[in-house]
Amino acid sequence: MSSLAKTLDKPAEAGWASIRNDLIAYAFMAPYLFLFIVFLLLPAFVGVYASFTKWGIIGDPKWVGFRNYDKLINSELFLESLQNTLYFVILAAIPLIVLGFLLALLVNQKLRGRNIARAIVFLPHVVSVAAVGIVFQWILERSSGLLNYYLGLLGVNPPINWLGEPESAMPAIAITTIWWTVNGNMIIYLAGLQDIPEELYESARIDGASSWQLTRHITIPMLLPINAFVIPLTVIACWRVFGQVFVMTRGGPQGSTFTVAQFIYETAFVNFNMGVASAAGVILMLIPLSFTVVQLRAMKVI
Amino acid sequence: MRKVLSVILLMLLLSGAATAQDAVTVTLMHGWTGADNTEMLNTVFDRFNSENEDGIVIEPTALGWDDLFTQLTLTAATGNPPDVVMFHNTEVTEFVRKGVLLPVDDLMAATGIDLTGVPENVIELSMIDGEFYCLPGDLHPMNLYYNVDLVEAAGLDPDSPPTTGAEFMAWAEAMTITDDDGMVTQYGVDQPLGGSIGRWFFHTLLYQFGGSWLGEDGLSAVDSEAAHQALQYLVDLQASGVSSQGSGVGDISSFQNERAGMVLVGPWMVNSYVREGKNIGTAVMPTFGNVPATWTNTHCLALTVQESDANYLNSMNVVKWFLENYAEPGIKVGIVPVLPVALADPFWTDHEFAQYYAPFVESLAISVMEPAIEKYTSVFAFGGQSPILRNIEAAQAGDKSVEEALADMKAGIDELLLDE
Repeated sequence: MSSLAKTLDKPAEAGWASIRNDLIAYAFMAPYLFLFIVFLLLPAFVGVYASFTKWGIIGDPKWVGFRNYDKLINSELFLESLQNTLYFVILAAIPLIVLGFLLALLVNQKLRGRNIARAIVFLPHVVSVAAVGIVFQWILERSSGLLNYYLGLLGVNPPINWLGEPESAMPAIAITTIWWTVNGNMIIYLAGLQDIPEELYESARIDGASSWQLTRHITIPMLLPINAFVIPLTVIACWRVFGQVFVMTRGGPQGSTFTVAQFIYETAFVNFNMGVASAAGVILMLIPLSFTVVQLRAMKVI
Repeated sequence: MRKVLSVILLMLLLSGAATAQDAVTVTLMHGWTGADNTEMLNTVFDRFNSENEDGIVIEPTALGWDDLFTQLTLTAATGNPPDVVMFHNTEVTEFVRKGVLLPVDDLMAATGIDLTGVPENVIELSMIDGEFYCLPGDLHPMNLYYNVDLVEAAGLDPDSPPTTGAEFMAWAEAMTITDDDGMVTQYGVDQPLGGSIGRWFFHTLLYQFGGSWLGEDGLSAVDSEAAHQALQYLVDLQASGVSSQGSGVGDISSFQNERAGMVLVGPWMVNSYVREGKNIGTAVMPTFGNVPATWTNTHCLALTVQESDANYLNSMNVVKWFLENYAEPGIKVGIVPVLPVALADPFWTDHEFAQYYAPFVESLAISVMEPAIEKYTSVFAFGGQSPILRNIEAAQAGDKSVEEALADMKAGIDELLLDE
């Protein structure tokens, strides 16, 4: 009996230990989970509910069904903001991913002073969006800006009104964004590169692989899980572009940099139309989400 | 010894608590941001806090204008708005309709606030349905600044600034300089494409040509002949080659960098230009159209509806003191007080900057405000949704004809006005 009882008790003890471990893990996660639920998850659910209501902040929401979505689909302004945001995603996301990867390869080389180089490349990331926007307004200034000064030396005349022309304003904002945030991707790729076992490269080199072959057949495939993280994150961040646009152009000229996030901000906090703004927020959430699902399935990550 | 120290500490804490209980706090939200403005305004509030004998302490919060409108709405929705809010008269109707603002006629009588001598149009905007909701403190009309050095270098007389559209254009042409390659190195006028300054200049021209924003039906009237003339003038000014077009929407850095001879903007730039050592002159807005007019807006102080009326009188006393002592913020922020008592204050009359403000005071008589409609912050927004800014910019850039731009502007404004 005693040996049987002991045998039966073992799984019970193991179960209790497992529960205890789970509880400890949840206890550690609790502060973050609390903040996540209160400040992200609940507002997201309230936002979805609000998207089906007419609500001006003051007073009670009134249920209107799909009317807000119908309004958005027929709103030239919203469709234009979608188009502008998609344009920004194309302009910014691809360079952010490719340059982030190339920069990581560069600062991963065993060169003298590479730590300083890494710090310098990463430095813009800690600057606030307001400061970045104002500095780039100066750099891109038409008559006395640094960029036009150097372009002038190369014979580019008349000077380009970067932020004053609809054709150049969005590319100017994309360039600003790339300078500001490419280093975030660089850091993630760098961490990925440092996780690739050196032995793989060594054995490939013994087999006579060139640098390009090492990159093509070892580095890139080994970074697949990193790409599964970086690409959706970058695309989502680009869809949500707001701060730099708000500081640098406020959506102008002629609405050429007017993005979905600014549409939501102005609809919610200038026009106080929370229902329509929430509906736009739901659409803004669904677009990159569907892109991410498609992309992760294509990469066979999910 | 430890016990003695503990008793002393307890007594200090209790006395502190008693002092805090005696003080009456009046929370005040305003939109005068920027380090200089906020700091300057805080010194004015500090003066009130130390001078007043009722133990009232002003607790200010400075927010950018957009944020202020948002925060005012949100705090009102949650039942905790500031006691006093300082914003523009043009926004009063919107917040009265939202039930945020308190009618203050009785409190004006109780505190003895006297608005005699304040321009009639400003008084009208302060009242809704015959009741006062917001007490005006200043006007800040758009007028002409010119760089005296550049004016003299062009052989013009800085003591005779332009008063008509023709004279304005003659000055602009005289100060426009091109290099050997035909590139413009100095502009006559720093008139940006669109932005707030574009809108204010369009407003000025609209009223100078005899137009208005709204028709009798309450909808937009920018399809009028006056609006056509106003926008055509802006388009022609850009096409003439004397205008900088700015760098980015609403940018007027060319005048600041002394690469343009003139700029049309409000009095809040006086401090900045003079402190930077620029040799500037100011003049009343030239008459480009048929009648003199210029854009203006006004800051006013309003009380919000609170759950209890216990602090209303204290709040009104703060408003009264601030209006009567408006000369200091007026000079330092760059706005023109409207109360005669403030305009007669030696701080205003004897200040070294008074000469620059004189044309702004003079232009009060021709100042015209945008309509204080219920949807003012939507229709007259500064952001990317604004049909006014978009279409002024498009016409100035040549991407739309004047007719197309005005038709689209009217459609956009009407859509906002009719939106439930």
